[in-house]
Amino acid sequence: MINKKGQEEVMGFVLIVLIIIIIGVVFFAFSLRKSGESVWQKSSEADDFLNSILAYTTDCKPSSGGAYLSVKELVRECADKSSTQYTCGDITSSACKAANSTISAIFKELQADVSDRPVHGYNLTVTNAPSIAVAIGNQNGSSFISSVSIPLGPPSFDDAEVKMRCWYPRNSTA
Amino acid sequence: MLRKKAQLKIQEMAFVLVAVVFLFSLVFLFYARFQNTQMIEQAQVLREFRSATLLKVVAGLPELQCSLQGQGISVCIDKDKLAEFSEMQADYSELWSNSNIAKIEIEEVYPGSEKFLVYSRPANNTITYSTYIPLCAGGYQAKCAIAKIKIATITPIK
Repeated sequence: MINKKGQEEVMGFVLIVLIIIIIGVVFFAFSLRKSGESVWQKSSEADDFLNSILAYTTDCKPSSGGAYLSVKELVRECADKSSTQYTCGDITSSACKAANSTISAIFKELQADVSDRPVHGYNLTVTNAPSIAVAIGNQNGSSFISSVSIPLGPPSFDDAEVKMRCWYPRNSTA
Repeated sequence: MLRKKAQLKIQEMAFVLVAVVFLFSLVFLFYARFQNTQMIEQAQVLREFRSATLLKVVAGLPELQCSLQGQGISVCIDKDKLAEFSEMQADYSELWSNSNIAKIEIEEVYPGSEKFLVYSRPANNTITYSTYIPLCAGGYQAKCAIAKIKIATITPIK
């Protein structure tokens, strides 16, 4: 009886230690597993990319004459609900259509990479200007998100926020 | 009988101690591995932050920055200044070499594809950082393109 009791005690100790070891291994295995990249990430390079796009001078100018407008100015005109017509090359259109087509052309032609990740899709929207909505390429995977505020004129004196997402393959490494 | 009981107890304690030591060494191993991963990630974040700062410093040089009547207007590079600056590599070589910079290049990516080499010197272990920046030409009514500024810095030999 004493022998059996001793054996039971030893087995009990061993069992407890084994359970603790297994729990510890499982816990650390989970904590060491490389976490998947967030779907939305901030990147200073993505911010610079968006600012460069907004600063780009288009080939659009007012049909009545004047200087060529930047993408930012076209977006502002669209958000201000301007009725001015713009001539882009041979085509006359509104500020919203001109902004849309210019941004689409940039995304289609530019082989961009952000933070050393190859971009395979873009998405750009503007608050206060719902007619500017560009979606090019593959909209899946991980993404960098960037936004810029453009102050608007009267009567709203609001801000139009330009939001851009650059999509890249989820498992691509820098 | 008593001796056997004591021996059993001692053996019990020995097994428990071995198991506890094994457990703690396992815990320490995993903790060290976890900390190592964290430190590598932090080093990468710091390196990227430093590179972003370096890029802004180069892009903000008065010799390159866009200007409107003598005042910098935004973060952009003047194409005309850049073309001239590319001819003056020797004058600024000491500045770049003291900053561990091996190469500075500005490449227009849209709509054109012109390249400007600002500075270059031979180097073995380098890492290149880049970001996008407007490249403007034409003075007051400047026309701006999208360019990429790339800086290769010398890394310590591992």
